[in-house]
Amino acid sequence: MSNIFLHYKKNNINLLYISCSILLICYGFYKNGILLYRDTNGNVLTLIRPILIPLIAIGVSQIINYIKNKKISINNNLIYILLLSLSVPLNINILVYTMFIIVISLFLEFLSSKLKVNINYIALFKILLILILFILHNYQYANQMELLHKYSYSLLDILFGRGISGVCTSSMILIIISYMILCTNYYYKKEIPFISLSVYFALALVFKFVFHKVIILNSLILYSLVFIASISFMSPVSKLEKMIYSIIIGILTFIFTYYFNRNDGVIFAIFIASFINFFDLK
Amino acid sequence: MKLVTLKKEYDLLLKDTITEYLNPNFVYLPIKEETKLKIDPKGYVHRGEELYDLQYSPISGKILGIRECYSTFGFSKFLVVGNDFKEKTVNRLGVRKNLSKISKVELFELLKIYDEKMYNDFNMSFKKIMISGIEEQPYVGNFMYINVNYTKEILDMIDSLGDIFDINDINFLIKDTDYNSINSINDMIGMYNNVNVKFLPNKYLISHKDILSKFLNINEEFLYLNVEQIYDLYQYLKRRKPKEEKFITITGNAINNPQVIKCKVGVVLSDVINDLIELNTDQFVVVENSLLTNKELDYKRYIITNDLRAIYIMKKEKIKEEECIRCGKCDEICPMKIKVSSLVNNRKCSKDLCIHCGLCSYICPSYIKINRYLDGDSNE
Repeated sequence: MSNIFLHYKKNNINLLYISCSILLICYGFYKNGILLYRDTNGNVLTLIRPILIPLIAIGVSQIINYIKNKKISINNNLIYILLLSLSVPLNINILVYTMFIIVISLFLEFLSSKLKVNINYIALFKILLILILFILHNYQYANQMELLHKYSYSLLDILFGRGISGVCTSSMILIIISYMILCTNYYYKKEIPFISLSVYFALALVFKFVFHKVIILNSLILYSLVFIASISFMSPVSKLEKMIYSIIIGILTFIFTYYFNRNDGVIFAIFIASFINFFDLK
Repeated sequence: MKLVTLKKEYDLLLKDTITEYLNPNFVYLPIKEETKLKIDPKGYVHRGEELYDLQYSPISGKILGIRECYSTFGFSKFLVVGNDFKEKTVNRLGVRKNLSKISKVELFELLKIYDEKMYNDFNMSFKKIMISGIEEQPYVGNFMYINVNYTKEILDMIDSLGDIFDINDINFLIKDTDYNSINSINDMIGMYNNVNVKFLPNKYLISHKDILSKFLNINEEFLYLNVEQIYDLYQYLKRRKPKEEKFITITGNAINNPQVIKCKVGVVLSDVINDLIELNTDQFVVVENSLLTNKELDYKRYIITNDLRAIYIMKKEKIKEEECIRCGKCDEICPMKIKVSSLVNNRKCSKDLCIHCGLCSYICPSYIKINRYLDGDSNE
């Protein structure tokens, strides 16, 4: 226990993460729930899937938290699992997903503090999930309507959430609003998304003008940078480390997105860049 | 350099009440193992009489023995003197009329007898004098009280220092939000040509010497004293008597009457609290000198010594310390640029430069008591 008598404002970042998640879940429910249900005449599961997926994440995390700590609370592990759940593909098998969430919740509650390694666990879990989905031939971000029809997405489509993305990560505008909300928190590492996105776009512009390549815009990239790359516990501490980390993410995101995987290239970039936490730079 | 304005806690703001506590039943004077008393250990002492090594009695009465008590030095031995309330003083030279006629040699001789610490401060070469009327810690009102109630004495002394050392560059530093001090000083400053008043922003640690030098871009050596030291110096030179009294601020959210108290050096803190302070709860902790360094104390056996500046009586509110989230704000806010986060995460870092300001604990979102890592006691 500690007595700190004079203290700066209370850190409300977890509440801000939840507020932003609610925004994204609302849009995800609209796009991948209501609209999809209407257009495909699907069943109730189709309608509630975008809400069910994050609810499973919250429920499993809190049950395991209660088993360990005998109480229900908004802790960091809940936030990590919730952020991961918002970016999974819509058509993921619910049973596979639930078992996966159980395993990673157990890992976060019982093992992660003992390991004392500060790599980006969310990125690691997402990579494992991608591998599992690949093995099960279930790796597909497009929903049923997007699979049936071939759409051509403009910049406005991607900005306003009509593009292909995770369950609740389609709307770039909402992610930008979430970033502005998170920036109001003193402890949020706001420079990480800003620098990494700047580097990514700088490289994309260079490639556009020199090699005439199309600029790839993807809301999953923005979501991962705003929510996953900047998680305090899993990102570097000093200004220099944060700068190097952000630049590496920007460069690797560009390479992986353009040449390997346009949806999840950013996650691989974040995971690799998080190894900078092993170095203690001033 | 980026300085911090601390968050305001309105419960802790001082009111105008100032109290004197100059007739204690006992005083406790710090004593070391090897100390040789200059008087009979069971004898009578006069007020102002030297007992041993620059330690003077602030009261007259009988020596009652030795007890172990707490103070800013930790747990140590104290010589107990019982007050006979007769105020019998040793023979002294009278009050000096003109401070400016003191020579440097005389000043140093008096400081050698009465105040070794100040003697060391003066014993260097300087061409500039800075006098701080700004408390380093928040919610402490000692300097404001001295600025307001002893303005003439302070300004006389500062002006005399300029004459003694033949220095024109004397700056009196006041916080720009300390309106009481500003009003008092403005009324009289015109009479003192040597003294310039400088207003500084209300930032934490602005009155710390190293940080002040960087803030004002001062590269040369300067004599740096605070108004309490100037007041003590005035007593030494004008009244030719040792330091007997001390100002301390007692405040906190567990009391109804926060105030500055003028008391005798060596008084037991519990006597002051019992006699003068209205507590509004019985679940409280007592913190010494700074709310940011969180040094709790056992007030029942705690002695008010020269180093004590403030006592905070705070309601007991245990906040759960959480795991470090690696935000890096402790590193950013540290005025000495120590890599505090490395210490908290069990990595090595140099902590020699630490000035124990407590800003790292203040800013930590996980409520980690970081000062215990800096003090080397991480297992607390």
